[in-house]
Amino acid sequence: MNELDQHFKNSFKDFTVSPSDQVWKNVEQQLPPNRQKSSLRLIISVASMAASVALFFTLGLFEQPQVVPTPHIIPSQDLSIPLPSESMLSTPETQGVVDVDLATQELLTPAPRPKNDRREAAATLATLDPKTVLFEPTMVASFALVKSPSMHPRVINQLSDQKVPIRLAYDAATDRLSRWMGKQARALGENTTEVVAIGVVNWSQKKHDIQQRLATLTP
Amino acid sequence: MEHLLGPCRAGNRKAQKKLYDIMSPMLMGICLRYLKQEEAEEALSNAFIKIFAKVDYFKEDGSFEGWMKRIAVRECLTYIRLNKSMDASDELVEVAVSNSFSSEQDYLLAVIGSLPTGYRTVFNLFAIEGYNHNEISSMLGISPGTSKSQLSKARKLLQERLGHE
Repeated sequence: MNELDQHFKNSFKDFTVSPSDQVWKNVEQQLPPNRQKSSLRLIISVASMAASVALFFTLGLFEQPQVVPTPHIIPSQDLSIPLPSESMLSTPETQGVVDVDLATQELLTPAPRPKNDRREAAATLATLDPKTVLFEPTMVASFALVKSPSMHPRVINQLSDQKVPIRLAYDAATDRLSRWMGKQARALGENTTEVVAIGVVNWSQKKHDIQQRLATLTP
Repeated sequence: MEHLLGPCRAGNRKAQKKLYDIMSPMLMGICLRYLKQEEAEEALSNAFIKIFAKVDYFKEDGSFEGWMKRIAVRECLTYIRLNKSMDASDELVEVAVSNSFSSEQDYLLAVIGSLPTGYRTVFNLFAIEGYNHNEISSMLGISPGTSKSQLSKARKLLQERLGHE
């Protein structure tokens, strides 16, 4: 390196020139989205989901089984919620099969807290007759809510709009109403392909409906 | 400046902008030794895009500033390779030096800018960046002999220019 080189080198050692603002704009356009902001959004969304799950779970914990008083039977009262397959229950084959006393007794019996044991539910399912037996959708959806607190409300709504196979109801295999429903299903399922199970527990607003429906089944 | 490495690696836009604010004047100064204003800004943009894209690969045992300078120089060379000829014969030496420069740096920049692209590039790489002829030949895709020859001619022109002034 000669003197000339050294002169230039020293002169440009601290040489700085501010570029125009357009340069940063060009750079920024080419950069991928701010990863930290994306991460923050991800954290917020995960936290929201976790909070939702926790909320559902908490509601499920506090939703204790309701003790239904002895049914006040009003045979002549009209049902406010029609049951699409109710007529099947009054056919000669099924008349009198439903044991209201047994049902009431089971409703009044305190039951252990349902366990969300899917393995047990799966084992129960495996022993079931594959015959399609349907339950009242609202009730099944309610079971689904208790057994799967994290289930999205939209799914619950979808369940409420359609008949749901017994398999989903049996996901709540340890629940006392489920057992009662199972009995009715087995009793009626011998000669029928479809059963509408009556009654919803754990939801106080449905208690009156249960009593009314039980009344209609009185032989 | 090294404290910005982590956030820049994480893609933090504020840190990227801060690094840009700190380093862009220095890197622009480098680019202007090789290219004209608009060309230098384009090369500078490309350099920063590359810096942010490759920052994960920077090894912290070296100088972060030096690493960024090398990227800026390489972006200038890429621009020259794509847009200019390294052959001195097709470019006339323009003498645009006057006494109206605000600083010696501006004056020397104008003198360097008056050199043909090939001369200017080799002189910058050898005299200021400190590369040897073998390195320059592989960087520019020319022979070491050509590199030496262009450096010699660049020096001669610069001496004439400076002596004349």
